[in-house]
Amino acid sequence: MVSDKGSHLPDAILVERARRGDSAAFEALVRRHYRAAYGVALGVLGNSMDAEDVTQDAFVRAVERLDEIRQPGRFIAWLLQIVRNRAKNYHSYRRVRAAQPLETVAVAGPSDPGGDAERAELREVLESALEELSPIQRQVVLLHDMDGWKHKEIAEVLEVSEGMSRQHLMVARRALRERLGAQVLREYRDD
Amino acid sequence: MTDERIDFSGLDPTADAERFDDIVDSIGEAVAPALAARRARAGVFGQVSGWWRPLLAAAAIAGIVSAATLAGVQTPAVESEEELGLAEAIGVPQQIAQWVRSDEVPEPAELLLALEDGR
Repeated sequence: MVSDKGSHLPDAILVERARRGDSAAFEALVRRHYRAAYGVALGVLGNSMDAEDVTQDAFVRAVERLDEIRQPGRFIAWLLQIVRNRAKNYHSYRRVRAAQPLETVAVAGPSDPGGDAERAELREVLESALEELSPIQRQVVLLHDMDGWKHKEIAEVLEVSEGMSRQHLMVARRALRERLGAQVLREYRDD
Repeated sequence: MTDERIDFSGLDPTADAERFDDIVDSIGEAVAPALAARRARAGVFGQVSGWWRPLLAAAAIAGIVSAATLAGVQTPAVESEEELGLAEAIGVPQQIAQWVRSDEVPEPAELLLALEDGR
């Protein structure tokens, strides 16, 4: 399902097309919003494997419930609500999923064993550091630093004030810096 | 002012393009039946809506023609009803109704006769 079809279109149009069963439109939505959805799932759960499971499941649920979106242009806010609910109910959901497993994508492939091992190690370090944060701090820092969201967008979706979003980011970064050291820091212009 | 972001590339699910494609494929396979059902529904609705418009137009024309016809047929009836007035409309004999309108007081015998005629 590798395709760029529809990738330039706004969410509202992609949602309308997906409602009529257009798989390319839905794929474009998945590619566009997967990282943010995963960031929120990881923020709530604190575990990358569980987060991936929940994120994929949330997209499946989203297709089933596409007709419920009142504002197709705000698909991401609606999707993240599904992700958060699924993540919060993960343990009961997991029992149901055990009977209906979604295809699991392997974490490490055979193409680059060295790189994969390195990535796995880095992932472990980051996950361990994220465990020190609260779920809301994790969601804010992941949306902001991993997916490039602005505080205004984060505030709207996570239902906090912009000021609180900044506060959560500051506290999260400070804690992560103390835990991780300088190795995982990057310098960017402030937004 | 610099802003030190945390490098989350180790957790970024899209960093490994090949693996991300696999994830997208996996979701695509999982949602394929639901999207196929949506396509089928959209096809049915499309066909219905294709018939719906001409059908609606035909119904509108039939409605207009019927309304015009009924208006033509009912016009005299409405006029006569206005002449008769409310009393006649609810079954009061015409003579009695006229007495009521004119404040004329009939003789008892005339009243009885009018009532008998009105039956």
